[in-house]
Amino acid sequence: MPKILVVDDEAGLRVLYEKELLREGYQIELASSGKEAISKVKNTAFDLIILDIKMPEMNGIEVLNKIMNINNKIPIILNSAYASFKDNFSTWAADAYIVKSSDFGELKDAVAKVLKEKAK
Amino acid sequence: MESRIDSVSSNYALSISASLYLDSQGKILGTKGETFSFLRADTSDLLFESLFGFLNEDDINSVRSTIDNCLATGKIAVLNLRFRGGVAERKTLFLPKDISAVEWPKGAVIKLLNIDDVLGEAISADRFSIDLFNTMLRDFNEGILMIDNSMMVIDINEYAAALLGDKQENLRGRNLKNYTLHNPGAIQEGIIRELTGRNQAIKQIEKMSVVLNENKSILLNFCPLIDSFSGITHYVVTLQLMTPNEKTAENILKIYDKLYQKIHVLSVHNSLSTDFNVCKEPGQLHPRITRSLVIGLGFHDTAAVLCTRQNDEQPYVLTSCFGIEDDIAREVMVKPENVTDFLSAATDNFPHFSRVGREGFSTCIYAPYIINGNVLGYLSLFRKSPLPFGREEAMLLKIIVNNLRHYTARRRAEQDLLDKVMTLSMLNSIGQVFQICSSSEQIAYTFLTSITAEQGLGLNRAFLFLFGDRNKELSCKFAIGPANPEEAGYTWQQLHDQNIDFKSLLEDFQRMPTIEQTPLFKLFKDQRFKPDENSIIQKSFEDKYPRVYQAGDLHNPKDLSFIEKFSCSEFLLVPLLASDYPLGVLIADNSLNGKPISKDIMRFVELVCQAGQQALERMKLNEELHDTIGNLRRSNELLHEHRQKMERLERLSVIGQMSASVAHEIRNPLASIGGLSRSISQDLPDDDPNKRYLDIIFSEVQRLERAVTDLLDFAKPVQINPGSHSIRELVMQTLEIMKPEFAKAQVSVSTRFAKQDDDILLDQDLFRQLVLNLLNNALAALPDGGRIVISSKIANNAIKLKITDTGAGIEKSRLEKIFEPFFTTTKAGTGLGLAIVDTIVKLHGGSISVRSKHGSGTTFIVILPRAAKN
Repeated sequence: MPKILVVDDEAGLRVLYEKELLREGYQIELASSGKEAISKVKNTAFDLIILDIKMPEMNGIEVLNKIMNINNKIPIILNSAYASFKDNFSTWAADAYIVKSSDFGELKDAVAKVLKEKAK
Repeated sequence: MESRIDSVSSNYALSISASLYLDSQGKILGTKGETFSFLRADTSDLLFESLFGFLNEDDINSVRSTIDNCLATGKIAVLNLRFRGGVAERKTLFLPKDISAVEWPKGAVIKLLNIDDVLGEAISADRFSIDLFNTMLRDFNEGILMIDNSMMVIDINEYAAALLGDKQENLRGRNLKNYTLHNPGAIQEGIIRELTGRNQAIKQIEKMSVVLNENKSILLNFCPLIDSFSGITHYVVTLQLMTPNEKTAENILKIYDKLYQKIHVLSVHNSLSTDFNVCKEPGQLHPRITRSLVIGLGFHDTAAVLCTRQNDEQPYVLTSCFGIEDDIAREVMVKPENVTDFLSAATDNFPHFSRVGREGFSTCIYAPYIINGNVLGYLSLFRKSPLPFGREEAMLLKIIVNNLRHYTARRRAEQDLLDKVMTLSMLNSIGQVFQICSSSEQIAYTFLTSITAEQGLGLNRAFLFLFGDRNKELSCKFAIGPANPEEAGYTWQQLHDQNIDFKSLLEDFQRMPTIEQTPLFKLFKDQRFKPDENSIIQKSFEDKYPRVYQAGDLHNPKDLSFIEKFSCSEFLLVPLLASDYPLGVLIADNSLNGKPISKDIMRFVELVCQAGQQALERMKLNEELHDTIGNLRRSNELLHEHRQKMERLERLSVIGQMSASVAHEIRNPLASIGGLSRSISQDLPDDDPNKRYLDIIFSEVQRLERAVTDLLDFAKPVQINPGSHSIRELVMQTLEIMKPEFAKAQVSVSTRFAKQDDDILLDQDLFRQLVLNLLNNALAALPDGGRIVISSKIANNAIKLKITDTGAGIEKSRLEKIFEPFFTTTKAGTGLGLAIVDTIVKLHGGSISVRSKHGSGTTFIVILPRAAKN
């Protein structure tokens, strides 16, 4: 079963993502900050990371850069309430960029698609 | 002691009478003689002494016995007196009446008389008788005879016969003419001349010297005897052999006579030269000229006539006359038909002598009165006697006429000067009033009043036509003048009664009627006139001078129809020009009194118009300035408005930034709430009642999320990525996306695209957003289903996209605001959709408009420019 790390400072969203992704049959790890996410990435091999951008202390783009330095083979989906970060070229390194919405469908499709890509 | 000397003198001979004052012894106590008024008293005394100072004892005794005899008989006594100094002896008579006046024997005043005095006294006192004549014939030792009218000798004494060199009996019955050797006929001619020429003096004795031969000349004294029925019937003639002294005396007299005449001439000249300086008016001067001439020259049968005329086209009129009745003067003056002859005769400005045969006048002399080569009159002297005028009179006339010429020239110059001063002061007043005018109406009023006022130019009517600002059409700005002659008389009389001077009349703007009130304005109300190239108005702008036109001379149909309205036969047209463009025209006429418009008036009109056009130009510039100021003020207000808008927009932009960050913050919890509701709902069995509530939460959250998205889209700075795309395709793509929603809302969509290639340079994402928003808007207007029509058209390098719905439409009051952010008509809308559409359209340089009728749908029209294909 693919193992997915969800990084988000919003507790409500972490609950939602866990619930929905578990329903899809993925294994879920949760991190509430960039620091926590990095330490988990060091210890665990994940198949996919869903990464929030606007977080306190360390934002998603810094986290992305650090994870890429640790293991640049892990696919990452950026998931933000802001669409405007798309303009920042650092975000282009991510495999997908999904704007947060209560409709989970888009994110689920993106997860399936990225994992499928990785399997190749 | 008293003495009295009388003297009688004629112009022609030295004839002395004198008085002696004697005591009872007959001794002369005193003598005083006076001969001529021009001799001084002491000189005259000396002369008398020389005549009578020789009386000795015998003489005195002789005088005494003579006086006694004379008193006793009452008859004329004759004294034989010898004159001292070798002068010829002379018999002297005295008349008893003179002695009786004195108390004899105390003394007497004796009036000494010579023969001529005796005759003169007798005739003037009507006491001449044949007895007296016989006494004279007998007692005088001087020649004496009597002739009739034809000079036939009636009787003669021996002395006279001796002087004429013939016997008494031979001479009786013969004609006296036969004895005048050197100058036959001269006696009679002389007598007639003198006697007809001097009617007043007919009773005086006339003297004349006749040369008998080389050594001898005699003095003839003619004393006329007058019958009350037939006039002069006879003459008593005394003859005296003229001594050399008497000849000299006569010559002196002749010289004196001429001198005397010259003195007359000089005195006339002198008194007139004062008149020329004193008289201000010709009417005062002219009668003085004729009067002074006649009285001063001292002729009794003379008349003076002065005729003048205004210019060389007018006939002469009688200006003044003296010594003659006006009617007769008109008869004898030079007739107009003879003026040419008269002119050619009076060359060199010298008086011309002529004979006249009318009204008892026989000779005349006239002097033309010439100014600048035009004969403007003449001064003439008429005389009844055939004796011609002399050079002195001619010269006098010439001098007077010359003075008259200078006088007239001076007066004309003065009048000209006065006119100029009046004109200048009038222009000055007009100019001053123009300065205080505060509107173009006031200028027009002042302008036209100066032209029509009686103290101004006095034209009957004046109209001012000015060009409009943009067009080349003339319209009537003001008109002054009475509608009919009665009104004219009334108005001017009123002003005259109020004694208003010109300047106050002009300044009195309260008197100014409004243009609508003036009766003449009605003629031109709401009328425009556009002069064509051949119009007299256009011509006047070219030659820039006022001109008088006769209505009958106009040919241009446009002019004719324009001038017809004035219904005048003659009018004055003055062009009014600003420095470089025509302002309009002034038209004035004398349609009420028909007076011709003179050159003087035109000259003045030109001056008034110069002042007027300057004032009008100034006012026009003022008004333009005023407009400019108005425009600037409006621009300023606009600027102010824009600035406020900008400030508001800046505030909005701050609010936008704030709301963007708030929106993001909202997005996270929304995602949790919505996502979890959905998730829970999916976990619940379909029949769980909570599932429905969760779905409601989910869809409401989705609505919130849309609002946030719209807000973020609106707030975000937009960048365009242009590319060439087909409108049709982009619209179809958007329709595809929205298909499910249309179906759900039961809305049918029909399209009608332009058939041509409809590629256009635009940002496809933005355009899709635009279409999407418009369609969403249409969908919102059709809650109960309906129809949407989409059409496109290509024209003029632009694409027109039209989206029409069959919804309820938008109220007019709301139409203006629908593109403003946060304005919405539906509960579900965020109010940003159309604002975004507007922004996108503007980013593409296009425009959007909306047409709607409440109750019958709305149409949005988007026009996007197509960039030129290159």
